[in-house]
Amino acid sequence: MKQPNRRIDARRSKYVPPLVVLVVVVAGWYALAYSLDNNFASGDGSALIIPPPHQLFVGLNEATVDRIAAATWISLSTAVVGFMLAIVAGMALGIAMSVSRSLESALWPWLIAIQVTPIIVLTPIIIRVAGASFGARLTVTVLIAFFPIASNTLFGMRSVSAALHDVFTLTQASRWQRLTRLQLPAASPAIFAGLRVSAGLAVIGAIVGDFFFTRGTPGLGRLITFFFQDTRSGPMFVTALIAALIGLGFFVVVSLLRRLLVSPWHRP
Amino acid sequence: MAVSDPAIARLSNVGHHFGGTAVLSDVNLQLAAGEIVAIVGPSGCGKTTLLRITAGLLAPTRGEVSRPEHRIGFVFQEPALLPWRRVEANAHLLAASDDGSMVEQLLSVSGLADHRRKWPHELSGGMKMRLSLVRSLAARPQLLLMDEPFGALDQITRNRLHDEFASLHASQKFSALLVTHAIDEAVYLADRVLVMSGAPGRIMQEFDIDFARPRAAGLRYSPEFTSLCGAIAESLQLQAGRA
Ligand SMILES: Nc1ncnc2c1ncn2[C@@H]1O[C@H](COP(=O)(O)OP(=O)(O)OP(=O)(O)O)[C@@H](O)[C@H]1O
Ligand SMILES: [Mg+2]
Repeated sequence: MKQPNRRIDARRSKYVPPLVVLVVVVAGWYALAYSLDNNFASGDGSALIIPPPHQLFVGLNEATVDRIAAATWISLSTAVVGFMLAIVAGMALGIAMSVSRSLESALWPWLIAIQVTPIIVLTPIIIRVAGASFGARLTVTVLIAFFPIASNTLFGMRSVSAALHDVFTLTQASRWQRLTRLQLPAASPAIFAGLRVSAGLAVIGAIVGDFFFTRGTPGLGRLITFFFQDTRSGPMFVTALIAALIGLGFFVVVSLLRRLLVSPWHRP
Repeated sequence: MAVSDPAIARLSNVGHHFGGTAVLSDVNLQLAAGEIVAIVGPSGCGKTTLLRITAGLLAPTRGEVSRPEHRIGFVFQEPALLPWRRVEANAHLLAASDDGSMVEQLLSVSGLADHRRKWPHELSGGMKMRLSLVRSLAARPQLLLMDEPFGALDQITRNRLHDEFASLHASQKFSALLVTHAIDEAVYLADRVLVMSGAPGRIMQEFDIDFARPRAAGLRYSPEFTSLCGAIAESLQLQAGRA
């Protein structure tokens, strides 16, 4: 009798607090929308700055939907491909540096330099060099996102216990076996911690980097500024919502992979 | 064990120091094929270091070591399991693929068969140690180096594993170097017991254990057994006093 009740209680305590927060957020949203001066146009009463939730989709005609779809495609593909490349580059760098101390001391200061530079400010230079191309978008995204993966891969590869290394030494394991069967699995919790950070950065790189691409079809970043300048608050909010959903999607995918590959065995 | 048997492993005048600290000095040791040698000595006297040198995991700063090229097993003082492999996968890790049934046998005598689907972090300390032992034995080692492999176990489990280890040894005929803090364990399992002293570690005394094999559990309560244990304990105390 007691057991199921407790389970329901547990479920309640898991879902109720976020729902309470949701209600508070929506209420605050309404309060803000209706308390702002000049938020509603005097003519048709459309929202100018903040649309209340029920007016979010007002003004979404077919042309606007098409623009948002095109922008979503550009930003999403930049984020996805950029994240993949950041994973490849970051892990390759991390592995290479873990293998060779001299490579590490040669590269590490430069990686730090890239890491502390707000890469966004380099976007105009990258566009000058590579043109306003998909490649330029990817470059910005990779430069922003690769570092946490590289550093966490390096850290994870180095953290393998000496005893486990000894086990592999005694079996005369090859370099490759040691890498794939010992070091990478041992590093995977750290690598996933890096992936979680990098996933967010890749989305930021894809969307914020878009501000600098003044020609061609706009991505989500630039589209938001267009809607802002035209005081089309409904489409602007929808675009922002899509950007948030892309970020959420990245987070969920990385979390699911982690839950599949690392959580079962890993105890921090 | 015939004296004429060629040594499986041999340490000649081995010495080792870490930085400026001498840890081992003048260690001479021969391990005949099929022989089990136990090493007892105070904590920190260099037993683990000696095993690592014998295994080839550490190059000694002095002396010569010869050892088999392949199939050296090592049961580490800490159970070095792969946390991302389940119990059964860890047990099979070093075994030949056609030794599956032997591994299963080892899992069941060590009481791990019911836990085969667990992850290492779900095992108790003693269970981890048993799994580490199973993994090493499953590789059919030629030379087995064991660093306090039975340390974390209760007396009943320990005695059961002693007998299992002895019968496995009888069938596989590996040579073993067994580091232990339990004198009765050394006497029950070994053909020879070496007593080490510390700072720097050296072999001070050697005891031949001539009890016939297979040895039975009752041996532990025989007067010969207890008096031999007493003699070794006395020797150990002497070394401890010296250090
Ligand atoms: N990698 C190392 N670097 C420096 N000193 C070390 C290293 N490994 C061991 N030592 C030192 O060597 C000595 C012997 O260590 P060792 O681990 O061989 O002792 P032990 O006999 O196995 O001890 P215990 O019974 O406690 O396991 C100790 O004084 C220890 O501090
Ligand atoms: Mg030790």
